[in-house]
Amino acid sequence: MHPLNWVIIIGWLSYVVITGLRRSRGTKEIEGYFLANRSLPWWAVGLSVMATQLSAVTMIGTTGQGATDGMRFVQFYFGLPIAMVILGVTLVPFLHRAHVYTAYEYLERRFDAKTRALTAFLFLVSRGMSCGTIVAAPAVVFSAIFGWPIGVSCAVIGLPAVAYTMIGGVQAVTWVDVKQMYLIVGALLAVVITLLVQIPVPAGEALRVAAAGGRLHVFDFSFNLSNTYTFWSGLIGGAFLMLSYFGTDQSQVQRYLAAKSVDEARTSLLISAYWKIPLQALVLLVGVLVFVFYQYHPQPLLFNPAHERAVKAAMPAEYADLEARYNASHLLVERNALRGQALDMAAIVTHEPVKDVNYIIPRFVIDHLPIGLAGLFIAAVIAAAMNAISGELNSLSTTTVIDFYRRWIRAEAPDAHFLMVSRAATGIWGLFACIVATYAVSLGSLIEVVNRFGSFFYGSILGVFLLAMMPRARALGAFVGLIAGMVAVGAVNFGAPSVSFLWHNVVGATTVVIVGLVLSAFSGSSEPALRGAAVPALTPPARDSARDSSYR
Amino acid sequence: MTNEATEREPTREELRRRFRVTLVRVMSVQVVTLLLLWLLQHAFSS
Repeated sequence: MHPLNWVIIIGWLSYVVITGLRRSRGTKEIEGYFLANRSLPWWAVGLSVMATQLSAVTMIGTTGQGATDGMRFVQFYFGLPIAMVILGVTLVPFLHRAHVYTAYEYLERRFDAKTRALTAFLFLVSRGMSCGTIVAAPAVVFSAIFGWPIGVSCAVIGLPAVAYTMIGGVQAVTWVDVKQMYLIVGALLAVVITLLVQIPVPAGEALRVAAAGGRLHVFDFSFNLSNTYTFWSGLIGGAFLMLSYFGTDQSQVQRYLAAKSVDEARTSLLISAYWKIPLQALVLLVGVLVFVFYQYHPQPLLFNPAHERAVKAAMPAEYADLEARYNASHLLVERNALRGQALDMAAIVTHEPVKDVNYIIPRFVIDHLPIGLAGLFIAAVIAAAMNAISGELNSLSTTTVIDFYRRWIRAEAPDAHFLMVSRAATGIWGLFACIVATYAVSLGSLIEVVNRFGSFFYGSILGVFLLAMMPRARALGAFVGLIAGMVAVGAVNFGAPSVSFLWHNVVGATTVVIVGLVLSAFSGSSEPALRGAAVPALTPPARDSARDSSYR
Repeated sequence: MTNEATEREPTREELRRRFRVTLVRVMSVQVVTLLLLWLLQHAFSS
């Protein structure tokens, strides 16, 4: 790669790390470190929420999906806007007024300590593992493209984010996210414009080529439970997933808890409601245009350069023959079949997973983008990874300290002590993520396992929070309901494996609410009175007086 | 100190109205977005 590209990448990384460290003022107290003293404006919170959700997988995996599968993935987000509106009048005001650090902290006030501990534990396990996969996905690609050892790739992606998150807390995370979002959107727009210039036909004709290849097919109105990307699974299953993710996942909740007021927190989520689908369409459009670009330019038979080198070395004659036939062919079906054969050869030679959708965009960027723009796009990929990692690390540290360390180990201590423990927890989780990332690469299917594991309880945790807003719900019902929800999702997963994971969220949340309400009806009189408000957004729960000194 | 202290608790009716207004605004934007995606799908497929 041209040195100017490296200058841009290193320059940008240095700039955001310095920005993060500068923004670390106000983090001498634990509320400043975890919640920015509840001082952040709505637009910064909103951009940070979007940035945390937009990882490097989006930049290289989703764009690659656009190239191979077209625009239909956008249906996944159809339930998001309505979920944001619902959260804006339910959980957001409720949690913000509760003056909690974590969503799970509230569950103890409303139910009991074991419900809080279990939900917080599930969050730590799933997010800790997923943080590793967030580092792993781009690290694998960078290693293959640049020939770096996997450890170096993990360090380049993970260490800057760990550094500013450790020192600056949520303040640093949020303001770096804002800067990085400008870079990411700018880089995506610049690539779209460059592609339109480089494709040797007018834009309308390019889109006709994309449509002929099935890449502009957005809507699938079939009601098929085994298909993740349909209008209905996106609208219904997606709404449940987004309600759970934005309403109960600490990596998101912590953002809007840091907003200046309930109104600012609510408005911050509306940024996602308005812009998430157009942004996702833009990401997919990059892939679609790369598909069109390769209809007019020579396309690599294998996009993963490491696999390409390995196959060329091990089976030179067979690969050369396949490549010649591939370049001579103009039929999409035939070209796809030849690419399939090449992928099979790569699998035989490397004994590694050979799905090379994640390499399409990086390869295009390195081979075809102008000097400077390639560096800008790679900086944007690293930026996206850093945004997701920093958000996750910050929330993992908060949950570790607030829901476990301060709750079970040391309830009273000066803020300086909790601050030191929080920074240590951030560093340890960062190290854990890098170790998981290194192993995730060699295990191959771990990423899928982690994603499936996450889908086991996302809906169930949403169910517990729904119960928390119902006056009749009791602690026993919530705890047993949570376990019943996860069991139900497990039964669906193993009993009907073809059912898409998006529907797991619907199954989990519904089971928890039904089981929870039924059990609560039988256990109601024997339990203590509600510790929190029953109706959302109207009456904030009373503060825990024993810990009031910490809520400054 | 946050703005919390100066915030008045909205009434149930105000909450309902705010929900309706926000829902209508957000869904209007989404309908326009989905229409544009539908146009993209159909306009170039001939």
